[in-house]
Amino acid sequence: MTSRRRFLAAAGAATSALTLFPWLERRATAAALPPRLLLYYTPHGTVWDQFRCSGGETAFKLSPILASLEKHRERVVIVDGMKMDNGTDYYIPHTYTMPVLWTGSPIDTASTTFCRDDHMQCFGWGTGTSVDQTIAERLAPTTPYPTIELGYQCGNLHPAKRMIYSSPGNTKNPLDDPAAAFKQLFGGDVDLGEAAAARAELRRKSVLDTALADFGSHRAKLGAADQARLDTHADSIRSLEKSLMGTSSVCTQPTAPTDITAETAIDRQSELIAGIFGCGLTRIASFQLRIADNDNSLYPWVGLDEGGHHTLSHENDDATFATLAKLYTWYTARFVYLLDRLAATPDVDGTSVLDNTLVIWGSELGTGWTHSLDNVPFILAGGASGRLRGGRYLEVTNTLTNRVLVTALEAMGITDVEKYGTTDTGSGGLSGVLT
Amino acid sequence: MRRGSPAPFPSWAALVALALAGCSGKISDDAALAAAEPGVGGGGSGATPGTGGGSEAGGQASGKGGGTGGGTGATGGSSSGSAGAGASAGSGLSACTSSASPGAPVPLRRLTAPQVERTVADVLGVSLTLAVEDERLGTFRSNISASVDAASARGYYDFAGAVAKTAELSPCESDCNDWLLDEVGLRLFRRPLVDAERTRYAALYELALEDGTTQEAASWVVEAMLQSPSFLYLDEVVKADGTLDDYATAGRLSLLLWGRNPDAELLDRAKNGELSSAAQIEAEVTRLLGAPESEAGIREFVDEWLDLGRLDDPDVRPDLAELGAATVKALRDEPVQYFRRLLGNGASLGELLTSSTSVAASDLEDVYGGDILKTSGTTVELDPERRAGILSLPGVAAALSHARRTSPTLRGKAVLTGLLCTPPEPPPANVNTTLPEVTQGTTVRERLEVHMSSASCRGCHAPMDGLGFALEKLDWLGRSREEDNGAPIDDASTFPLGTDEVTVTGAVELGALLADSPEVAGCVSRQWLRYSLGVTETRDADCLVNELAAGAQGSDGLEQMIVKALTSDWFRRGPGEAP
Repeated sequence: MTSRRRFLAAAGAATSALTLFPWLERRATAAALPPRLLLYYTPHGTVWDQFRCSGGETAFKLSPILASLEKHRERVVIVDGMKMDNGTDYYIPHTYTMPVLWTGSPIDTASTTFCRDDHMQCFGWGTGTSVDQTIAERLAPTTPYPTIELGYQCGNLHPAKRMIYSSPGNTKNPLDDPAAAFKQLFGGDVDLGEAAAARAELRRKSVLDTALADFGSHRAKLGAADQARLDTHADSIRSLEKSLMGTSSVCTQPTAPTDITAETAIDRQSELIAGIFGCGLTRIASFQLRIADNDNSLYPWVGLDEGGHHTLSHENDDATFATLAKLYTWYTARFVYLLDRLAATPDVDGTSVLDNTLVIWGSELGTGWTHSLDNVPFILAGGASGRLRGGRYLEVTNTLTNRVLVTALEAMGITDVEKYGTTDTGSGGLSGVLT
Repeated sequence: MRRGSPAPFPSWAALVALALAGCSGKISDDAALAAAEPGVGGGGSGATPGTGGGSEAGGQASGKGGGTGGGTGATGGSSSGSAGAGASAGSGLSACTSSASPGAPVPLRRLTAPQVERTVADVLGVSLTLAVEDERLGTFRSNISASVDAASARGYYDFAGAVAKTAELSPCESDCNDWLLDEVGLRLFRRPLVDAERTRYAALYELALEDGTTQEAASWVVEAMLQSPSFLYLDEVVKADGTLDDYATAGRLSLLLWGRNPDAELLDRAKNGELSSAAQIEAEVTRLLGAPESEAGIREFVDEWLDLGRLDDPDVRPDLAELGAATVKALRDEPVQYFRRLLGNGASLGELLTSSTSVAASDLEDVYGGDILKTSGTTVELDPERRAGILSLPGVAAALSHARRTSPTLRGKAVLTGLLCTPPEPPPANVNTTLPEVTQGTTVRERLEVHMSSASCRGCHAPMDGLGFALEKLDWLGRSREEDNGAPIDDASTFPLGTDEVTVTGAVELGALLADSPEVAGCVSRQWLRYSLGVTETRDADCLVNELAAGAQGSDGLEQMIVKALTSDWFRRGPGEAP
């Protein structure tokens, strides 16, 4: 039996890989490589005492938490002093700002879909669209996926556990298990003969088209909101159908991840992200580590083996801060590993994927201990196709996190947006970050 | 960043107070009136206040909670419709008019993952896991708002493909098109296929058959049906009077009580129009509750109500793995079986909170230790000095703990939320969230009391922690103990209940107190209603809640609470948006 991989190779003899995968052709012939965007999230802010760097904008000395960034020093901008506006009168820490992080718009407090008994407040989903989705909508990318969402242990459907919004009230679920993510993104039909592959294609298309047609045959009278939910579901099946067409085999695709534990899973996802960008599956992706309310995971390998991340942040003794700092130092090491993988993945013009990517690392608040939004840590990294002015520690004041979102738009070539999100009272991108 | 004062919120305590204040059709208590006022932007929408006066149910309940209602309601203040479980009812000033209210508008519901899995096991003989997340209404699974995105669509796709590969399709050794349409389709869609569907699935079958076997053709059809919205969503049709048609009623009853699609017998009743009256539905509820399949429905309720899923969540309880799967499963299972046993015995709500008889589970013998006095057949008699009521079961105590340490806060919060529907007040505006230095105490209680020395924290933590202290003689695994970290345990517990501040000592006294509380009866009735409907009940449900609460606490028992909820107009009303 001919494997699918070999079938593609054989087909390539007559028709080039570029004919089979036209998006590669566009990439190969484009004059300047368009940048990619990766939004990266870790929960509960940081411990600022041990995150803050000293020494000035360019001569800064990396803090204990950030020390391992040294080798990518020239490709990072660390921002100190960004404020987040939760945009609502009442503030349920973590939950109310997870939707704000990438949308710049508040959570819906008129909805009663979710209730927090302890705060006696009800709320719904976020009221904005996250910046990655807006960019995808504007650029209408021809990649197999407009955007890809990855994560690790992101939990069930809840506003504190989702950060990517395709439209107000509509979140995207991250693929938060490395094995499942690999299967969906790189595990197309393999080891099928040509005839069997054709039959599988017919089956897939016929089965999905039959199910899709049923969306017209429900009998219940539905309100507008319910009808919209059904429409979205049908759209999801259509994009699933498209994405199931084989996408692999013409680039160095990652191998199926093994060794997936709580300690290694983030790195496995980082390897997939490098593969996703390297193989051109999308230009816009995100990664969400766990949840905003509340991440009570244990991280015994850094000494956090009791209580959990969030519970610990309710204590303010030095020992606790030391443990949390170790955790955030470990987060930095994971971020560095991601940058390493992107740097090690060749891009079609001979540079690296990292050179042509803007990675933005943020959190849902500044400090878990006080739930403060007065200083939310952000790090921008990568080359952004030569546009990021790296090697700098930026101290800012009176600057809303919305500025980062506008910076993302600018980096991706969208320059006609001055404000992003309904909480935005400023304008433009972060000053001096892009050339 | 704005951190202004909390938005006015229709205090849930006030809502409960209203529920208990009776259904005289006239509210004279100022506090209750204030709580009931829709206020600016409220969901009133000009609906005419009801004039129905008291129902029988109201009459039963009205004597019970009036006094309590006034005082508790005072905390409610004005309520804005902008945020609040009860604010969208549009019922004007009247808290309730009669239990025959038209009910809540129910959004289109999508089956939960366990419902899909059980149905597929029933109809196609395959037990597989569906990797699609469910939304939660409080702690209950209910898919009422989110859309299915590409990743979830992929979850359904993978599930349907895997099921189709291994499904039990023995009638398809020869042509089985009719079987697929008339039996498989009926069971999956909970109603006969409409003509367009019959045509479509027959065409898919024929297409597959051109180059394949009847078995293969059947697997294509099954794969498509399992991804059809007709299977995944409750496609509910209402009759002229606004109540569900018989097939929709059958679907709701079965999904709720059996956690799966209706069986052939129930669908037959629907076909014959035998689910049209309250009496017919009552008979069917009794049949469904009496069948072993009801374990699934009761499991969903109890398990989600008490958040027992924490036991299987390695994120919150990484320490439990070493106990072994059998013990963890037994911990999680016992409260469900305990509830079912009482339900089957016609027990009252009070017994749920006081009974010292449980079901035997050999995997829990080590956890119980000397607390098992006697085993007789399938039941065990527990030491009534230590174990009384569902809150004292090891699975509940363990689920509401952290890794290797108890959490009076979690336990107290679960009682306030799940049994009293009176969660703690929100922190005051501009609260200083910086807690005082933690000095290491000996017991958990001592450590938490140090935290509570701060006035700004006490408001939130005093009721939660105070309640939880009563359960401190149950450790993080639900084992009995007298000492915590070498020091004797003080399990005296003080917390607000209605207008009073009450003090009890230990789990047994706590159970006895809760058993007699009208607040608890009202709240448990609400929880059942939320689980049944999949939406948060509105104030229109208050009379029904009164009726259920009075019955559950009295001679009706828990089973009648369920029967009455499911024969009510609330349950029988169809989907739609708010009027």
